[in-house]
Amino acid sequence: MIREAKATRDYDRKRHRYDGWLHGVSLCAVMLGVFFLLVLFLIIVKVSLPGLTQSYFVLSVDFSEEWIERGDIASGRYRKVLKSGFSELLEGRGSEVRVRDFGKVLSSRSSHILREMVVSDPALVGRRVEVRLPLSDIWDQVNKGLLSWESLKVHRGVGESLQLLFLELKDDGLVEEHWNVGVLFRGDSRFPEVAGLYGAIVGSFYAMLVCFLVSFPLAIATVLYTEELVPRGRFRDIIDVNINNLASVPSVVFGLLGLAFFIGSLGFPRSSPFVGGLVLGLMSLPTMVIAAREAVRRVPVSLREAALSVGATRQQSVFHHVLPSAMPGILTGTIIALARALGEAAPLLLIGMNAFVSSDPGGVMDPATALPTQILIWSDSPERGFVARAGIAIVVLIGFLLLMNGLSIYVRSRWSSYDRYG
Amino acid sequence: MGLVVWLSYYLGRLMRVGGTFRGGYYLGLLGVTFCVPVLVAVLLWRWDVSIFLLKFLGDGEVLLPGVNEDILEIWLYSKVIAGSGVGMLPGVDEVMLADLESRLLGLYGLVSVVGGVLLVVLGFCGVLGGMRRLYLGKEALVLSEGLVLKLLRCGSVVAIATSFLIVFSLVFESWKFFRYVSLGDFFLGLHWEPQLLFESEGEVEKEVFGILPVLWGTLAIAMIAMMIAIPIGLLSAIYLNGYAGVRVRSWVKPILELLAGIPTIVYGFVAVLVVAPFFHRWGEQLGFSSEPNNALAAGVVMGMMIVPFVSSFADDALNEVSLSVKYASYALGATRGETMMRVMLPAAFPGIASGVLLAASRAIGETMIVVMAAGLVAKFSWSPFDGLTTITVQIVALLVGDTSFDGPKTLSAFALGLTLFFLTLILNVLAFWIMKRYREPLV
Repeated sequence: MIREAKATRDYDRKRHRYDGWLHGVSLCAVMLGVFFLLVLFLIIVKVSLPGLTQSYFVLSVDFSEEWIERGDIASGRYRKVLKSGFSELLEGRGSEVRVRDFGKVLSSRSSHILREMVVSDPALVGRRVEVRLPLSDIWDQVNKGLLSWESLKVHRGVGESLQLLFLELKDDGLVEEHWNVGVLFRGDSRFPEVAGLYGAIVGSFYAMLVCFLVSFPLAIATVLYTEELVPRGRFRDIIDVNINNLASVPSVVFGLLGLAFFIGSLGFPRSSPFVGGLVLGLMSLPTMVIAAREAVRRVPVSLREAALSVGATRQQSVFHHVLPSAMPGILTGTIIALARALGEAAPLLLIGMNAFVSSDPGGVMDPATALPTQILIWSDSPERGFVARAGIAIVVLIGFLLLMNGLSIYVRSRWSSYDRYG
Repeated sequence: MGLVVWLSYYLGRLMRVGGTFRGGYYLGLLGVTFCVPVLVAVLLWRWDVSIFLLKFLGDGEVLLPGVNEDILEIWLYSKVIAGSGVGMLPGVDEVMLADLESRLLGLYGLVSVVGGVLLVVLGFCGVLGGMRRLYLGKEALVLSEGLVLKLLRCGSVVAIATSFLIVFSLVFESWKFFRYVSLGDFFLGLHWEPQLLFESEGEVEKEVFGILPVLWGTLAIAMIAMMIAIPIGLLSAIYLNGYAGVRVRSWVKPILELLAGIPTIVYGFVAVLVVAPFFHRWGEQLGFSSEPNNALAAGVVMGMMIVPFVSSFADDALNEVSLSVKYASYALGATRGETMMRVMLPAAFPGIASGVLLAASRAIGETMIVVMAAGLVAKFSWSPFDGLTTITVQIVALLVGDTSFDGPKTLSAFALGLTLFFLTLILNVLAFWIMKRYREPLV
């Protein structure tokens, strides 16, 4: 009797130990998932931190009329302006560094920056001004302490005197570090110190616009037709099967469709946000249809019947009552589908939205990049500064996604009055 | 546009025969009858109309001596019609080019004006048709509802058309590819090295298009991903369903779903920047021949991405099991662990299995992570530290930056795409079949 009780107790202990073990292991799995997310965010923050600031050099330059004609400002000799600024600085310090070597400290776009400055403010001609010019990528890294002097000497052949001069200039406060606001407002460039996301943001916006204009009406048409107006029959079954299958087609296949059909057969321009939006629109159509279908199904039957009983036609009941009631749900699903489309890169890659485009797109037919493809371009670039900027681009992208998700939550809570029926 | 709206409203009112006047329907009816033909015509408009115009201008002769016709077409198209200035054409008589440009511009203007007028005429033909129906005594309400129904039907056909277009364009381009390379060589070939192929040399080497090593890489990386995702995802679902309280659940579930909401390019970025070098060093320390872009990194990061899919599918499946089953098990004295493993999991198995299949299909079709972190060279290798390649990587590598459509190299991407499409389709159909076949409601 006692032995039996002991056996039972042992068995029970074993059972409960197993229960505790499963509890612990499954908790660990959840923790691991949360840990993944945390690590992901930490890595992105760590990578993008250096890109938050950009080092500038304060240089005094003379926009002398000798080099810039007042009548023809745009074609002035700004390289000369820059060089004379350099040599004045070097002579003033009595340094033996050559002008050419010092020129590499600053961005190679410096003379263009000077030109833009004067073109936007012609009154500068003939005056001596202190300008802030961005440091070139390598020296930006050095200034932030991310690149050692040794590697600079070994790999770039930078001499002792230039190092001393740079440190001296830094001590004198001529090297400044500012928030890198320009990364949001400039177009792409071959040089990280002046490269920006603006073109990609505009390109993504256009693509999203086209995507919305394509998929939203189509999703509503599909749902209203199959759920409300002709809610039975083979046509609806075919659509249902189709939507389910389309929802799980890999996104890269949609890119192939865009390349073969929209660009190959219809002759739409390559790399344009228009084609990108079309492809993303077809891609997010099933997601939207599924969300809209749920929303429409949640609208109570009593609402439809009430409309019909006072003499409304089927369509009147749908358009005046069912659709407005389902709208919050449809919009929520739409925003989430758009957010997914915004982060999608694979189809855009195939239709050429990863080309180098330095000018901002003026319309949906112009070549452009999008945020995710810009991230790919930058993270593939050899310059170190681009990696940090890719991190910034990721932060911007995730920011937009969070914004959209917040918006969808807001829409749901603000207008969900009809959800109380369901 | 406003004019059209006002006109259709007014004309509709004129045409009405008896019945109450409901302005909106007249407006809607005639507006739709105007817009639909116009929209259809605009959609059918060829954007590269300039190329036809050029053919018309040239009339069979050589337009400019010494210039490739294709290049000239593209140049003139972007200059005249797209309106974006591109660089100069080298070695061209500038006067003749300017002349050609102005002629093309004139012709394009003419075509645009005529096209615009035709569009308006077409629209009004539609309006006239609508008015005739009204005049014949139909109610505007009935007519416009009929039209709206047709429009909605057209809209919902797009979903079918998309599937059809995908299959059609993939099959069509693949068919062109299989004129160069036989089916057997493609599906049974053991070498995938299209980069060895130089199209100019005429003779196509057929041995470079064997899909098996690419398929091997795809499956290996997906397998690594699933080996990460299935245990973590399943155990997370078990925790959420069996052990977590309501509060913990309401916190943890959204966090896990956040993982699913992060764009795959971000995963790819992390994979190539941090995870791949980490595994590379690790592999070298263990004495493997390791590559910087290794399959392990791509697989592990992809596994992280797939975790929330598996966990939410499994969680849904577990939640669908009736609570009475769960409570019955508790009432018999079973612990939570026993209830989970012996009752809940078997009951939810079909749902979980189909979720796992769907997750696997996502792993196979995943692109950005592998494009960034996996290798480019297709080989049979058992070592996870080697850089394996996948179907999606090869599609992207073959098509990015290549503009010609007709070489076997670019066409092979479509054959790969077709394979990928059917691979994922089979998994999806299987998943839905399991759901349908084995999901019996336990009450």
